[in-house]
Amino acid sequence: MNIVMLAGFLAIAPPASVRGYDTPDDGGRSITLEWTLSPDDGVIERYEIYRSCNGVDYEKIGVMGRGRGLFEDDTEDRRQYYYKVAAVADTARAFSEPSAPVMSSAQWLNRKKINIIVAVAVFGGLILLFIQRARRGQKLFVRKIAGLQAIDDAVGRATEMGKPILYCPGIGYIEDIATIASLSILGEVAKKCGQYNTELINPHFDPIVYTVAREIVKESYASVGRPDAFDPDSVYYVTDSQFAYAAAVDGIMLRERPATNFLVGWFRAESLILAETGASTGAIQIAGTDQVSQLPFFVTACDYTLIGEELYAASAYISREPLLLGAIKGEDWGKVIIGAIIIAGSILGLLTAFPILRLFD
Amino acid sequence: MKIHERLLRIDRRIIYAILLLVVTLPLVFPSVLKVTPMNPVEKLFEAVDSTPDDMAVIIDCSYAPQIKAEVEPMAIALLRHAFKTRKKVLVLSLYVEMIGLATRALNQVVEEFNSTARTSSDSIIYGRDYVFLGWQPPPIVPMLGMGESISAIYVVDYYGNQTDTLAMMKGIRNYNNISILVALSGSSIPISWVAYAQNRYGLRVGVGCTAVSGADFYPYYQTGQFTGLMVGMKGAAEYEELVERNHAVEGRRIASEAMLSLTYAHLVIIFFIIAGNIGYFISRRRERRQP
Amino acid sequence: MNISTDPWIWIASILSLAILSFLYKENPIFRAAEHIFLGVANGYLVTFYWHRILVPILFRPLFQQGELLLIIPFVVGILYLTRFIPRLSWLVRIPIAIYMGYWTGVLIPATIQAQIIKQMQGTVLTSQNFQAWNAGSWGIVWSVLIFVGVLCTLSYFYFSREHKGVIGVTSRVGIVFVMTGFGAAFGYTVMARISLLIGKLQFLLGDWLGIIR
Repeated sequence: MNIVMLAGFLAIAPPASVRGYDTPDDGGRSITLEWTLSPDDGVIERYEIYRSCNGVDYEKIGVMGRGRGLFEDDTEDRRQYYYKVAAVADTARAFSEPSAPVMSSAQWLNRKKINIIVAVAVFGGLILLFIQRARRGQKLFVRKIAGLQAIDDAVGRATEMGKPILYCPGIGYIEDIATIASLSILGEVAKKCGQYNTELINPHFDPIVYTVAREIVKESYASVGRPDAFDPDSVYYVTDSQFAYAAAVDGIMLRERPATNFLVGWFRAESLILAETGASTGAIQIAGTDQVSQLPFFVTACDYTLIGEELYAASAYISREPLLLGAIKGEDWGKVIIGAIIIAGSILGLLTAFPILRLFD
Repeated sequence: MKIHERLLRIDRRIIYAILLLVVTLPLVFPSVLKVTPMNPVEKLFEAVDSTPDDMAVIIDCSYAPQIKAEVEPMAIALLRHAFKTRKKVLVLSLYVEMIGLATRALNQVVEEFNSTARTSSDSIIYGRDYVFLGWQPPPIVPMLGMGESISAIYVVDYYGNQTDTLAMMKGIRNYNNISILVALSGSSIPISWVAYAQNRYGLRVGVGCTAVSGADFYPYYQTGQFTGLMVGMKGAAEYEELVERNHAVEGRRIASEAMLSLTYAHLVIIFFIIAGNIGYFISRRRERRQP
Repeated sequence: MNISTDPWIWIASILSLAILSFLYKENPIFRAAEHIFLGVANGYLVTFYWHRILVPILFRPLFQQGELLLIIPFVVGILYLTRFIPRLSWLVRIPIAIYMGYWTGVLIPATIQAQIIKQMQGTVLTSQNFQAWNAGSWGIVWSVLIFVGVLCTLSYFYFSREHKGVIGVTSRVGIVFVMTGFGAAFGYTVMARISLLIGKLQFLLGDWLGIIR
């Protein structure tokens, strides 16, 4: 046994070129250790990492499997450390030469994230620029969305038929962007209902959204000179249970038979239940959501659908709110920049040997 | 009523009844349907399989009861794979209501292995072979915190043990000691793992998701952000096939049993879609021909 | 048939059927099952939160181990409760602002890296991206398809110009890609719903009634 151990000890070659350095692009308290694998890497069990603060007394701080020559150590900043790595086979250990002393420190900038800093600066700057322009009164063009053009027709249809309009803002909360966009469109629809004296039914899932929507609808009626036409009972809270809300709205569709259904906001699985029931009653349906998983159901069962960002654009188009308009214009420029980078990157990547993909890492 | 009008007006109760029949009969009279594993599932399998002995696999069991049918078979197949190949396993959930399901899958697979084990080394022992970390809100805390120290985030495990006293955790400090994290979820949690843990710490992320999320997640697989991808019950069946084929693990393959039902259900739906479209186009042509 | 004698299986089955009774119409049995679920889930959440989160991470270190720095997050957390006191409800803005500020700072760079920059990297036409498909020369076809699809879909969602001329053409191509994507998502959703039905039948017919072996 001792002969085997001795033979084993003599047979194992230690790792070489142990080098420690301050882990780059981090907040400090970390040293990275690299070493050249032992020539006997294939037969050893593992590497053991030892550390000292004075170059004399070493303690074991970690273990690495064979075939791997990299280790990250948690340290205190501005304190010198020395490292040794031992190749281990059974009870035999072959130690490397100690590393040079190394200290860890924090960096101010993570150079690996420069592309993100540039992207945030460019996109954020564009959005802020366009918000400022909108606030100064500059006209910012946003094309009309197809679904919005249908609103007039839909409200007119309901008025001619003498039937109500159902507006369902989804099951989102007030902080959801889709819900905020939906409330802008609700205001527009409420104005038309006030103008044409069409009944509006507006059931709600969230109590806070309900209180905000009530004020919006009341103001909309007042803005077209018809405050008397506002029915407080037309905007009401139903329940905050997802499928109970869907069941309640389905009940309204089947009983009241609205001529037009608006399903605009944040939806989840109940979207298909609502859209299908509305379609079965023969109503015109205008839907809009930013939930990609629910869009297929709306596209299938509704006459017009505001897809994703079209919902925000519709809200910006209607409200002309500088914050919303500026965001849409900034995003548009962002899309142009993304498209240009993809095209330029493809040309460079196909025609030259430039490692274009590294720019994105 | 003419036939093309009948095709447009098929009573939905007939469709429900036929669907119920074609789904139930293959379950009651089971038959084997061979499943061919696809590339995304194979990639995930290989990533778990190649985990070194001194590293661990994290399984994030963040699936709710309403998607259990699709995702639980994935968890069971993954655990069978990891335990059979003696990989160290850390299990966690990002939401409290999912803890019960994670416990259920763990207990089932551990029981399967221990019921046939003869020695301690054959057995699956808590603390040595696997650790159940439990739940730590909000989700971003473990996602970012485990990159520095797992036992600092999960001070105690699900059973109340000090995490850093467990045998398995001696060599498992943070993401540097994790080979891959497999996120089993029905929401956008896997994207959050990529955005926070992979982006900052370079953690490899594999995914098991519901079919609803599948279409959303393929772009991330295509860019390499997801190392592998299991989508829906079919993805689970493919992984079960790989585990049995490569490691001869025996155990009930819930997802594979359902493949015949799934296939027939899809065929029925395709038939009705085609029938409805035939009726629609014939009706439209007749309306145009009428003066 | 081998009907289960496990009371928990019976309870789960009865509650499953109670929830499924919603297909007929909303009824008191469905409501009862729904409320049981909500009550159990909330009770579990509260007790787990107290025993596994608040006590070991906040109360014990703060009050027993003397880590006084934890007073800061403790007080900030308490401020959330001031929304129930009308006179002090303005204080709730402090924790909300801290939380939203932190969240925005963490979310924006992570989202830009994971969902924009990485996706751009996967879209650029390079030999590396062609090979990543492991599909031989078909990799070029898929990469070109993605390249065209991404650019045309971006042009569809471009709101600063009318869809006329070149943008009109590319946006029409873009909407074809969008609808194809929706079709794929819809098909996957059908698979998901059928899978859930199968799962429920496996439980009812297998675990409960013992018809499936």
